[in-house]
Amino acid sequence: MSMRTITLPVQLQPLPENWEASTSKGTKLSAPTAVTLLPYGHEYSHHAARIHHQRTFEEHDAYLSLKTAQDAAANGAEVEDDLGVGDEEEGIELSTLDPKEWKKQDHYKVLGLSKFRYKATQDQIKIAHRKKVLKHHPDKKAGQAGDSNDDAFFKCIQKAMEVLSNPEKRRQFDSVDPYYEALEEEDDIPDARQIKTFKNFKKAYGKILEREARFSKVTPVPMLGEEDAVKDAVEGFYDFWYNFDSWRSFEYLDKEINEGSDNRDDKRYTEKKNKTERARRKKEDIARVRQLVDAALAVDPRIKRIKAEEKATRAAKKAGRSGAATPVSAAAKAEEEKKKKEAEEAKKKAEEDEKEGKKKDKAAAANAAKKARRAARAAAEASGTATPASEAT
Amino acid sequence: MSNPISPPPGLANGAATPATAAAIANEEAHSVIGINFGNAYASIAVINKEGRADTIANEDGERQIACAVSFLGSETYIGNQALPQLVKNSGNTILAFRNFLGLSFSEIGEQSPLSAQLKDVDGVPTYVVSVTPEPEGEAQEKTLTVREVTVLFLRSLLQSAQDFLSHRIIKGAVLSCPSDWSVKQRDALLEAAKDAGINVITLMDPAAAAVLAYAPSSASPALPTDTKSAANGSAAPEPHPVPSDRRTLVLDIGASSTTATLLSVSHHSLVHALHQSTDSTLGGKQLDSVLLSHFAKEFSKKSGVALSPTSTTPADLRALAKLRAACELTKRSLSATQGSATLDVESLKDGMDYHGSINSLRFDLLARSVYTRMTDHVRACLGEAKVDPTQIGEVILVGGTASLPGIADALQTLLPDPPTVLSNSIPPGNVVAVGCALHARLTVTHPPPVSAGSEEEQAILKGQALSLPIGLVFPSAGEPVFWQVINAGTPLPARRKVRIPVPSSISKLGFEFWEGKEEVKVETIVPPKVEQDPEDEEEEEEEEEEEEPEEVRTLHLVPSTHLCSLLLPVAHPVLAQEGKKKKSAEKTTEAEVEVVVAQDGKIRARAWVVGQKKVEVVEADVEGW
Repeated sequence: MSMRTITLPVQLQPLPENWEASTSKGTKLSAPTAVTLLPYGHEYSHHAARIHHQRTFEEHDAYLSLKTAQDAAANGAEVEDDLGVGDEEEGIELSTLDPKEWKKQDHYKVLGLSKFRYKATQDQIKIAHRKKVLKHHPDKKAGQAGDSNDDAFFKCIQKAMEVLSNPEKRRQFDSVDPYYEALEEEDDIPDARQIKTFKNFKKAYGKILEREARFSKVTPVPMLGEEDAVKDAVEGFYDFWYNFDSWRSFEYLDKEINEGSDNRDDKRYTEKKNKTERARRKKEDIARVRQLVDAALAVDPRIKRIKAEEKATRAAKKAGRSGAATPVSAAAKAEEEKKKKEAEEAKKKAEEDEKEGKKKDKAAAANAAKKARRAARAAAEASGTATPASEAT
Repeated sequence: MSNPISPPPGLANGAATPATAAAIANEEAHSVIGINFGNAYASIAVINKEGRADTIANEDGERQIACAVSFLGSETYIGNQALPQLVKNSGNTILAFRNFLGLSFSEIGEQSPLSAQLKDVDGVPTYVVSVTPEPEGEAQEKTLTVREVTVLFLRSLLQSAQDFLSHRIIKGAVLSCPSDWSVKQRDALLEAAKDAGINVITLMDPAAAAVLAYAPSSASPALPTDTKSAANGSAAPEPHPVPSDRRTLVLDIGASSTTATLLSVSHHSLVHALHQSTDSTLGGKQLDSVLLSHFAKEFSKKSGVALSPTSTTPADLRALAKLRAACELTKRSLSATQGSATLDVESLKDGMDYHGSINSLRFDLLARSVYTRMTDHVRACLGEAKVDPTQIGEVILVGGTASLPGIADALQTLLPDPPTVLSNSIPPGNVVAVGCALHARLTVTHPPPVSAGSEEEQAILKGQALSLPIGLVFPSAGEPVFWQVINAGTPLPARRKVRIPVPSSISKLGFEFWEGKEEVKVETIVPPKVEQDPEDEEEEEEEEEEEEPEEVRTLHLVPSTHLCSLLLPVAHPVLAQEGKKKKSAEKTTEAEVEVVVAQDGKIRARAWVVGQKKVEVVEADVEGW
């Protein structure tokens, strides 16, 4: 029995100082009134069970929770593993879907797989479809009030299954998944000025590249990596992305070819148009990825670091080859200057120390003299005062 | 109460696994029905797919099935089809027979002169009707006892329910039965139901059925009771509009009698009656008569044909029967709508048709005297029970007549909302049947631990209840405020828990447990002069009342006897870093207090802080009687 616990809307005041928890001895409740209960209702059966089995409230609670656990275990045995598909909440936009407009619907969302998307396995898709069908089958809705003939959403579910269960169709849909399309539009190429450190860089590009990586025919796809990655790794990464081999295609967006039309020219015209459109989109997509990688390369702090390092090694080599006669490199110069400066500073400091030391010596000498004088005076005074005292005694 | 009650663990783990047992229980729940068998109308409720109780319509499409049986030639009409027979065949039409069940002829009071009369056959009240068994045969006399009529009628109800449930075998039914019926009457009803083929689970008090119909349905996980919460399991159920512990007044306005029952309700479904009073001369029939005389007058005025509602000439009686049937329809449409309702009778008298209409305002005006009698009846009932209107937590309207909006309005003046909540979201005509069906389901899904009618049950039913409320007082400098924890009238043993939000400035909590008193403060407020409607000016009596100062009654709970106290130290969770401050600020510390009163009057009070890893409980006890 779950107790309904009421929260009192009380504004507590601090406890008065002299208050203590006293139990007044001998006070009792007023005599009870005899009543005749009516033997109906849930709470009555709990009440009767407690008295019948002579259980206290706690014992009854324990019994009930045991019972619930048993029931749950019994029911739980029937529940199959759903591979984490779960029950996704169905938004209001799903109920207004038109099956005729199936190309515009988000098939993953319709099947309740929007947390998996392209990562969903065929098994997961099957389970999700089954769940949705059980819930939305028109036969199920026949008895319910309202639009009993409304099987629009069911048709949407079937369409979604048709697309997602066919690998070819699914690839086409994944290419233009509206969820990622929206993301692509949302976060454009990050602003180069914002990126100062590698952390910024990784934050800005990591997600975008991860999203793009799903189109790669070659797996695994190299990702950004760490800040101190070696030159080969960084170069390999950019090599891969500049030669990005994508399976993305745009058949899904084709205009419908009117199959019923007898006009061959008409059909061919549409086909041709679709083909060019596909090619155009593909080209655009390749350009987009390239642009993205360009932008990333431009702001990658590692590239700057690697360049600087290379320059330094090159310079060092050069310096080693042509000896001291050659004009000193900037770095060496700087180093030299620094050394010089340091030496100067040290010298200065030493001098200052020396000065300080002299000063200290002087002060110490003065102090000593002062002390000696003071001591002499004190001795004189002591003898002076001592004499009259001795005289008095 | 979210969990089922069931036999002790030993039995539950029997041969059948719990899952299949639950499925069987579920199946059984759909094969039991609730029947509200009134004197004028009956209704049937079943458990629908969602696990809720619903009244069903019979094959005529009626949810309110008239308790009427009529014989015409070789035909027998049962239910609403029998009503039109009142016009030409009233001698063979039997109405309002339920109240005569189990009575001898000498115990029968007045009979309605409009339908078939009971005759004394060796002390057994018997109807004598004429039937023609064969189409061209002679008319014969047929005698029917009240019980036979009841069997006939109940059988037709069972048939309707079976038809609705696609000929499923109905395993049991809960029948409503007035609580003031004697054992003899109850036995007669049980026997009649048995003869009709109904397996009666139990007879049920209509007032308790009404309370159960509104109780937030409980039940087991096998029966989703709330479609909303079942659909998305995580959503919290909506708070119930009435507190789980309260006094409830059930006002049952039938066709021929009005019953006010005052009940004490604990946890929504542990019920005992405090008081009941019945006025057997007040009911929907009075409202019909009001309408009847109104329209009779209108007809006479319009057509020039005299029609007096008290006339007894055969022609007039027939006309009045026609008009009465039409008036009842008009009354029903007035219950359903706020606007006006029409009344059409063809060839009412001397070949004159009548067509009239009445708006709800006019009707309320006509019915005012009846409404006043109803509110007076409620007031008298409360007076006899020595309960103030402010102490009533809920009013439940029951009975087809109670769906008239005027009645709810009239009650509002006596029992204002708040503090009294008016429950009429279930159509009042269906409430009792719904409650019966819910109880039937409960009985089959979770059989009660003690069998009905056994001596042990009788012992359990004879309980003891708190006479005064127990509550909390928080020690403070000012006037002590009494926070009620256990209401007066709660059957023992009882346990209640409350939570108290603790502000972070307080590190010690003191509770004092007190027995309280309910006091009603009456303040008189002179209302400011309001411009009066022209209608009010016409009625001078009303005017005088209007000028009287208004009494405002408020209920106050005051502590009277100190029982015990508790001191609870509260450690607040330490606020972590600055960044997390916001999160921890949202979560306030709460203390929980539990009070258990045993059957012998012993009190154990305990308190602890909610949600801490190490729960420290402080407790105090008070001796019993």
